[in-house]
Amino acid sequence: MLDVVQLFIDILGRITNVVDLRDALDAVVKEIGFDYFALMEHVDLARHASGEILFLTTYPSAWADFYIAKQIVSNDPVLLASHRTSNGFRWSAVSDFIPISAAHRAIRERTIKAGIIDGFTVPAHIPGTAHGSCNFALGSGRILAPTNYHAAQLVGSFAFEAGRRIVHNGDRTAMPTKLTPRMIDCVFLAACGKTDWEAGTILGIAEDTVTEYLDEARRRYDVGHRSQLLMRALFDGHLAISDVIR
Amino acid sequence: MINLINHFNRDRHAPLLSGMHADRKRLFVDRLKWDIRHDGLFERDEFDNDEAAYLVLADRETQEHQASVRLLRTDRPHILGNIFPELCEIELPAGPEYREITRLCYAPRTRRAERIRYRNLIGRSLIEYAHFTGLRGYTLVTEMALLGQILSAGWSCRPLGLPRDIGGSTIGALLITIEPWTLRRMSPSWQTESVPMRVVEFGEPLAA
Repeated sequence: MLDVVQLFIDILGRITNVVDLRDALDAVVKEIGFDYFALMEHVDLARHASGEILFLTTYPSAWADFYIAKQIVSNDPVLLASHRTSNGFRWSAVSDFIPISAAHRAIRERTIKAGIIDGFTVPAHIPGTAHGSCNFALGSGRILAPTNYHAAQLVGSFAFEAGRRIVHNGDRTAMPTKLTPRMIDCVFLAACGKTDWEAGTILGIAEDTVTEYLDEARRRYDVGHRSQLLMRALFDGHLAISDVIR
Repeated sequence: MINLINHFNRDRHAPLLSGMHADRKRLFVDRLKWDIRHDGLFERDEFDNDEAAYLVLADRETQEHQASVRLLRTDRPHILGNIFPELCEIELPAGPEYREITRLCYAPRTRRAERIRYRNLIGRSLIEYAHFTGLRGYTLVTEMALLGQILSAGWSCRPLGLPRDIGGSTIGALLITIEPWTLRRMSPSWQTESVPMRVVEFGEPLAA
């Protein structure tokens, strides 16, 4: 199985466009025992032109279209779980990471109806960039050997890196809205429940300065409320949930 | 300031090395819950011996430990060769041209934004150290949770075997190859100012 992965990594080194990446990934995914994949950055897919962000999939097309149009990316239980861990996980373990709501169950049922029965997800958390993942799906309930999942762990991480390199042409900082390190400090402390005065004391700056940083961060995201700012900063990877909940 | 410390100059850096061992205990034992040897204050193992070299980032003013990495010779006992040999399924890259990256550590008190800066400084100093000493590359054993971040550097990296589930986490062995163009091709998010590296105290004494 290692030679299959090594060969794939060799191919990635020569690939310069997403079409070739899709074909290479499709081939290796089948060799390591899965049926479909979705390689993606976790951003609102409907709001971005294709080519701007990484979104490659061999999922049945009716499902992929529905997924984008209904913006399921923001409430997909598998992707939400992937924000809570950096380790690859089987979908049967999703409830270990997040509470499952009725809406999540409905999405899951819809997925199964579309022929995606089970799967394995490799999260991609690169500090300072949007979250992403490489998802490996099975069209049946068959059980794979541990080596298949371990191979998927490698394939997922290498594919994600190659995909992002191609789509963003090396500019990894272009994707999420830019916040300065000081803004991130203030957003982080606000997410921890600190008042501006408390945050200012911790950071050794004036209360008004904290307020200004947070106001500027809201402007950059074009949102009116701090709670929206916190969500957007989490979503863009400026903060990790594990940073805030500790 | 990155200090290159080995058994020739370690006496002159005793406080910095103590700080490093104390931070290693706080990070690996207290926070990450690794099942490794420690004495309650310091984390130190059988590989912290005369053959080990360290790249240590120290605060310019206080000289406190900020981040560090331990480099082991691959022609001597090391983590991949002796503790996790099963993680390497192909011929083990070993010999004078390869070092093993181990105990990559930052002071646990470090703020998140600073951690990235430290990561980039250590990353760059690893490349410069390789050029300086004629290394072809580094091996390392790592949790797969960190693979994405390691790959994001932009250097040439390959798995030496399939990962395995060991002690509750999935770990694997990697080879990072250092080439003349590695520094130039580092991804923007890993780029950093050049590292002032103290090498004046490095090397064998010219006369005994």
